[in-house]
Amino acid sequence: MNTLLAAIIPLGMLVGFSVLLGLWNAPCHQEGRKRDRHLIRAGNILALVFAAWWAGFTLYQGVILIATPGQLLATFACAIWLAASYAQYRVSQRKLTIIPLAAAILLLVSAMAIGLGRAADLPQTLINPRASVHIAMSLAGVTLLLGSGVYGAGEIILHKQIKSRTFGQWFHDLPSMSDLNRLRRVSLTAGWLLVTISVASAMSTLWLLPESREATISHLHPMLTLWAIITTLWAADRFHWLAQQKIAFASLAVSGLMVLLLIVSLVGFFTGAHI
Amino acid sequence: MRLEAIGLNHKTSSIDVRDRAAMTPDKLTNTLHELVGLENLEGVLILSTCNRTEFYLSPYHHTKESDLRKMLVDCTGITEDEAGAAYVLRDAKVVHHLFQVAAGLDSQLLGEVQVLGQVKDAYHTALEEGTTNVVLNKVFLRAIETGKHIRQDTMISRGAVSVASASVKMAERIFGDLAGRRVLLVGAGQTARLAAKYLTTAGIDRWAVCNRTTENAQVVADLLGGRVAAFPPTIEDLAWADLIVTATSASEPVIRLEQMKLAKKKRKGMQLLLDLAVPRDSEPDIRDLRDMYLYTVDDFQDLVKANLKARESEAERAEELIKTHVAEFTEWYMENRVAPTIQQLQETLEELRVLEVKRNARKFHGTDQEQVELFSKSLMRKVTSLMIANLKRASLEEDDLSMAKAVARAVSLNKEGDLNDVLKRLDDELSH
Repeated sequence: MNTLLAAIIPLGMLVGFSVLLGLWNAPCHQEGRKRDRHLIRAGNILALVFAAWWAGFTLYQGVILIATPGQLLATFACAIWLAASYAQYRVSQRKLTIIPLAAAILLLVSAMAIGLGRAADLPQTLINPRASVHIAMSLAGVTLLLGSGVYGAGEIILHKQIKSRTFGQWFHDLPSMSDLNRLRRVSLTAGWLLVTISVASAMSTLWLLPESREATISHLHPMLTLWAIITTLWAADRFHWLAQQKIAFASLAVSGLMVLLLIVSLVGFFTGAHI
Repeated sequence: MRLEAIGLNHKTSSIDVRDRAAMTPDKLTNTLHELVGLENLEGVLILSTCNRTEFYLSPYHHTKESDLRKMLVDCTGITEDEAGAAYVLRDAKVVHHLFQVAAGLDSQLLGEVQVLGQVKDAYHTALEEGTTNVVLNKVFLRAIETGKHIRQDTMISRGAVSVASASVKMAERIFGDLAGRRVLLVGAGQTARLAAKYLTTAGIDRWAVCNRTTENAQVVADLLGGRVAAFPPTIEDLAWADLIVTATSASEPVIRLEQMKLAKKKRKGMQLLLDLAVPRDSEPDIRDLRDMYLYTVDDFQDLVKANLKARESEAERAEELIKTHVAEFTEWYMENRVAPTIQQLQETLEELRVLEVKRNARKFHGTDQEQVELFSKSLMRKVTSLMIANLKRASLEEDDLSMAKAVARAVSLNKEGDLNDVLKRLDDELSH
């Protein structure tokens, strides 16, 4: 069972993702083709398989699929592809499907290289359901916020091309400004909401279970910093404090910062260092 | 190849001549019937659009060029001098030209899409009237297929190549789906109406129209199903619109920076201002406002130029594809010409084989008989394949049917006498 879940199915998914990436990259100039629809459907099927695998493995292991660094990367890949499939459902696009596809492949390959197998010793902190909620929400939130950064980058590129009248390949291939803006805002709002729940869950654990204080506080500061930044960004977007281009740029900057904080948090989590 | 074409287009004739040569549907149908009734014509098809009038003919024998020009004069009513500028094409050149037309390579606007529909319509009309033959059917179906392939496999039809279509493209790049977007149309002249027409086609249905002359604004508003707004536009109307299109003949800017600043305070989100007027209707600094995109005619001309350049670079690739399609069609045509001979050859040789095996059947028993059957089949297949390949090659490369005729004569022996007798005679001659 372990081989099936940790090697055979991930390998199959990896093949599926690679084929999909190759097909999305294949040159095709006509817009609104059948091919896109088939590829979107194939991507959705892969997302369902990925989600089912993740749920199945979690049930088999008895703990959410983040017990090892390899599992964490696979979970991250799963979240990225689910978010990308949802975005594709909202806005048909090509260029912005390639980025999450490549990210999912990279993460899945890394996960398999590190080792995806069932953890021999489950970390005590993960057995607490509150911790599972916190981690799952954080990962989903971070994925969406990274997505908002990607859409923000798309917005910046398209804005620059429209303003400078350069009309390059991106001008033709990116979704419209309005669609990019909508996707960025939805990702930002949903990401902010999930991170807020995650932070609330961590705080409640700290409050209700003082004995788990050490584990909870290991990455509390980066998490709170991140939450404060995202909240400010979300409010600026929600209440139109800044021009949309500035918000898009801020989303991109926050994504970069988040990757940094994520690495810091993970290092803290797996090494037990207090940051 | 039994194909001829005579026609005129934007490269050979003025718009006046093209207008006179263009045919109404009734006239076109009548002309088709008149021409197909002629002694030398097996099939005829007419492609008549605002940019071209072309006659595609499938004659029994090639027609003299002077007769073709006379036919053009008689059918269209243009003068002999004007018909002198028409192009006359024959055989593979007809196929090449038609494929170019279907692909939009021969259009005034390189890569335009409408012409493919016009080719389809012309073909269906002729088909319904029963004036096409096998060759015309095949060449037109292949032309339609080629037109589609070239648009799929190249970027020949990509990007807007007129200011009006570029405006729509720009609006779509900013707003995505245009349905539900609000447009303030400033001006009611020809340019404004043309832009409105394109935007309506793209899905816009919420309009406010303002013009110096309110009556004209009312006419356009009625056409678009919108409302009349005050002129010059108020801050409320400027804030209301997602898209502002200006095309007045005013000598001073109609939309001022200060006005737009106030309007921006009253609305959230992006706005696109399409200034299609010369001289411009808006102050240039408006483009620096927050979430504001301003495009003028000059900007669109740059976009149009860039797109046309991109299409031109794709034209070479499209031309290569056309050559491949023409070669395929030519091959089909030549094969089709020798097809009856090939069939006759195969039938006769098979008949010979069966008879010969039967005659010698008693010399072999059991598995030997099966081996003889297999051997004879294999031998015949090889001989037939070789002969067919040479027949096709002669027809294709040398456009020479003499070999096919000789083969046809050679294999028609069975019609003159009993094959059994022929075989017996051959046996006797060989034994001597």
